[in-house]
Amino acid sequence: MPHFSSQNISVEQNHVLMIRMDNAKIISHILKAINFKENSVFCCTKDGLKVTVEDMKSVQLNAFIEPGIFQSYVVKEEEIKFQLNLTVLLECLNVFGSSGLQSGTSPALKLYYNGHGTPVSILLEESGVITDCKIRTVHFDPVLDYDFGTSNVIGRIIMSSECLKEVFCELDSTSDCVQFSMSPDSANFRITTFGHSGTYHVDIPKASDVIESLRCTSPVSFKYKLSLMKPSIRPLGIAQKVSLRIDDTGLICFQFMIKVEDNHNCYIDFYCPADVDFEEDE
Amino acid sequence: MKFRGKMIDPNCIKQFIGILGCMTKLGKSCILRITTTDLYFIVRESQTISASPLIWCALDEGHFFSEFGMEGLSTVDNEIYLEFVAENVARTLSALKVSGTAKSVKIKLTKKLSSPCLTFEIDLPSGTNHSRLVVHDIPVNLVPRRLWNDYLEPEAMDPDISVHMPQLRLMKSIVERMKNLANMATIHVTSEGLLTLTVETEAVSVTSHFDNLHVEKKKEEEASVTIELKRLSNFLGHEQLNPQKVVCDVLQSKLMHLNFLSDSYTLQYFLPGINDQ
Repeated sequence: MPHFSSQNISVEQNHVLMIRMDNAKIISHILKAINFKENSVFCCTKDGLKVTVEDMKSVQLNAFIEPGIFQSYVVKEEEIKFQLNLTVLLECLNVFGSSGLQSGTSPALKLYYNGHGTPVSILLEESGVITDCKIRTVHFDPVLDYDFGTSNVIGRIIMSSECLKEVFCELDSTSDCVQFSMSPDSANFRITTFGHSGTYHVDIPKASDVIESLRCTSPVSFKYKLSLMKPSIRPLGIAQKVSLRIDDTGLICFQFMIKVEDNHNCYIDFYCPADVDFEEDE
Repeated sequence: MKFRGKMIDPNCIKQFIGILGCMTKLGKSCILRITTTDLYFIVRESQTISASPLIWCALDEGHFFSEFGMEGLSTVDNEIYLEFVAENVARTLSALKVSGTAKSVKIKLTKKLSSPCLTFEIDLPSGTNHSRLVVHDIPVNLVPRRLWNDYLEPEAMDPDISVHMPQLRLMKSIVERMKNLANMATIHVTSEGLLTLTVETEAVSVTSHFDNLHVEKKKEEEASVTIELKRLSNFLGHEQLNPQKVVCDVLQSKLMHLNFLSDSYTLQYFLPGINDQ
């Protein structure tokens, strides 16, 4: 019967990864936003935790949680990688109730992992009740490594996520894709859909309050399948700021900045390749 | 046969609605047994032939009703047994809950369109000083005398271990989550007052530990039973009734018995053990 206090030292030495948090809700808040598929790959280095969820070798969501967010973060190898069912993990993290980040319970968490082939162990404590979970890990499938070299970025915007969320929620769902356009000459960032009832443009002026910065070296205009964009909605909903970057192949990267307690931020990024079946717009 | 009861205390009405709500969540049909002193709600396992109930609830009429009168089947068998469909009552309950505090609720056994009914007359406050009366008729079947023995009071159990149930609100959350992972869970209690709840699947195993529980009875050192999570979750859904005490009895591999105890009523759930090993 495990108790947090009675872990003996020899067992501790077997852990290659150990994380301690006073409030498990923070990590479940972030991971819930990327749970659009069940399987997730965890990659833990001294720089923090990176959790990747990918779909069909195309779109990818990555959550980054830096060591400063945790009360204790110990990684005994250069890189520790494993794959597990994220939906199951979230059920465990929310075992004492899934109310929002600000309200209700704040269960303490201890997570540890003893290496390849062993399960991830999670101990959660709330009001004297301890729940311990062991989640099976499997050998991870390699994930796409999107290398977004800054030299290839043609267009970059930093803007309020609330505004973008409003736009996304109102996009014409009868349209197969959504087009993002900007150019050094145009005053606006344009978002276009091509649905049954017609072509809709949403123009956000570069000068408006919602856009913090817009940099674009040459005109850029790419289409993306609306269905592939869906996983970006949840992180967009919990973020305060978002940056969009598009490179010369049309690969778009959204980076969501999410404020968690005590002036700490977590980041989620979302990669989506351009829809190449269509010609680039003029 | 006659039955008429009137409730005027808002807390009693609220409690009554809560209890009736419990009954209607599990099981398709429910039995209401009326005696001179108590009201009983009984839900039986429909698939089994045995007479053991799934839910047994006894309410002290003196506490709930300001006015109460009944005349049973006969002077010898001075009781009434009615059967009703849970779904029909659910609608009445929604009406009661939505409309806020009723000034009074009258429940009567009536005959509407030559069928017996349990009629709820709800006196609601309205904007003006006038009363607003809402009447719900719930069709019931009168249970014939020869079947009354099917609904006997459950025998007092002789458990292996009996403990006071721990923090119900937390347990409720835990069981809700476990329900998403597996169908069954194993309850294990020890004579030291430790209760653990475990689910185990191929992908995950989750165990919750509740320590320092008050032990009421201990015939053995420990006892465990595997039960259906859905049933446990249904029971824990009623933790908002705020009982004074909840007791959990475990009979090794056979039964988990949960008893909500309050001044004015008792509510018992019987969860049969599942033998999967």
